[in-house]
Amino acid sequence: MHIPENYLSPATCAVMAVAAVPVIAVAVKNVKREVTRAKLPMLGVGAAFSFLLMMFNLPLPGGTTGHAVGGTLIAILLGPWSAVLSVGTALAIQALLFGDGGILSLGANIFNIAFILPFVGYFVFKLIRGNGKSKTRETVGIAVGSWVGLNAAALFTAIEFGIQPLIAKGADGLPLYCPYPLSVAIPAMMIPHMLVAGVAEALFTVLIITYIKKVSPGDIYEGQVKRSKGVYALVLALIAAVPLGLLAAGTAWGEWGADEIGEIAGFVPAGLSGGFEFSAIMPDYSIAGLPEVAGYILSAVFGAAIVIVVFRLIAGFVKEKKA
Amino acid sequence: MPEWLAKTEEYTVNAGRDTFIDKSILALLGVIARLRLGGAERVSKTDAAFRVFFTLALIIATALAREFSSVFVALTFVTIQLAALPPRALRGTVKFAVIATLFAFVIVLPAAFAGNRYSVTVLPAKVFVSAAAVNILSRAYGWDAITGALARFRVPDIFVFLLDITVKYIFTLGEFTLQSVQALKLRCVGRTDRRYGSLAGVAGVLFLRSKTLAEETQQAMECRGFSGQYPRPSRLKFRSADALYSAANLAVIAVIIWIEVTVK
Repeated sequence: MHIPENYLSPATCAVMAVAAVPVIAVAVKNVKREVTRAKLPMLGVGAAFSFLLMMFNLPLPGGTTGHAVGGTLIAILLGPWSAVLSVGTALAIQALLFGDGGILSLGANIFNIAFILPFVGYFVFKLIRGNGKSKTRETVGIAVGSWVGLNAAALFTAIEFGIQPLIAKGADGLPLYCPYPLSVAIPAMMIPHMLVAGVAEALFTVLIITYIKKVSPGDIYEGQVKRSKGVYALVLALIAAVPLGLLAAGTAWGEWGADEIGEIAGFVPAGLSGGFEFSAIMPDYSIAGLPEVAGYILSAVFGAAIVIVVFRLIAGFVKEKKA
Repeated sequence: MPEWLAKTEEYTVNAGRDTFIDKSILALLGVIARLRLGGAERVSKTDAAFRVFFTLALIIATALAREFSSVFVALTFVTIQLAALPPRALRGTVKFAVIATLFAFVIVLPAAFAGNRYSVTVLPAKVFVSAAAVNILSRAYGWDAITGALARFRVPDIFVFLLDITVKYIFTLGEFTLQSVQALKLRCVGRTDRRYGSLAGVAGVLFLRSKTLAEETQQAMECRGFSGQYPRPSRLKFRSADALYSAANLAVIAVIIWIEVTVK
């Protein structure tokens, strides 16, 4: 679910980052109040836990595997605001040190995976669990909460992908980033998450919490998250504001009008399909848009660098075999 | 001799699927190896702060670029940097970037059938540039240099502290998890019906272990009088390698802007 670089337009990334900032700020404030300064290391260690949890490959039907996310799990174990910071830090490290998920799209990833996922998951869990007297209700709450949480995050991701063709188009009308409209992006993201990944996540979460409850029941977060109207208002406002902000950013981009939606939402208009010729990118070592000499030199430098890379790769393999 | 000892044992092992354990082991090994090598492979003479800044600048420029030619300029620049990497870092970076690019290509391929050739060529090229640029950065420096650079950019202490602690514990807890998963693998014979249960057990132990470690860290911090506030980093020295690196980056970004502005 990590959105890589260049699938979202920079405008979308900026809007999502702006949306993620208040979430993080409120999380820091709440965590500081809830988790005393002395317990700060738990957040870092919790982030390491969250990072490692994503390394767990769960067996899926058909002999394949998929990795766990564990957002709802961490919200139930450490509390939802701590989960925002822990999962967010894990995402930042994946982007910065491992190149998993983009740096520009980090705001979007934090919003979807570190905020929407644990919060939706945690509150669905709380709602179903009720006063906590019934064990069955608690287990069902964990399962449904983690399933809904994961799918909510997947839906946000799908919407962010799906609006790209609407808001970021080149002068010729072709989408600049993710080329699929909502009608393609939503089913493509949601069907596998609802049927497979979500079920695996729910099962894994239930089993882990059951295990911890059995072994060391005192270690599960029981703090009272204040259900102040402020929090709900923030969540609702953000959820409402994000798509609006994205569309607004699109208008500012200057290539999108309300009357176009119906026309664009289908796909690239047929009349534009011939607007860009593949063969025109590098004919005779010249590059479209560059003076011939510059294009030639650039191609030569690129070619030389490629050759060096290939040779050094081969040399590396040979050396390894000899050793 | 008891009777059961005289019986012939007929036990056939069902072919079990434990790829999920193998994959988990490989993923953990990969992470630990990356963190451990981070410092050893330090190849760049440039200060990490410049690298972090210009890597981000290049990624932004590439993301904003609309012309294939400007993406191609960025691609060439990144490839030149690749060519200067030591063998192990080179192999890791190219592997990662090529997989990311192929993935992007497969994702946008259906769009080509709908007549959108722009996405099929430009998007994978952009993905390659970004993936390679970030990987060069993280392989050229240890993670401590990168968090140090973030501290220079006035990222609040709490985040630097969180990143720092997290990386340290990914390493410590990662080795712990690796041992647990390997123990699980050794104990798995044939087909197990409790595949989720066994992995969940490992994750559960991991959580309890991280709680203990967090408490110990907090005690250690108290003993040393460290409250999570970092001293201001020393002043940045601008050396010739930094100047060269910055000039090259500025030139590439200038060319990209020039192409984007002039080509219409």
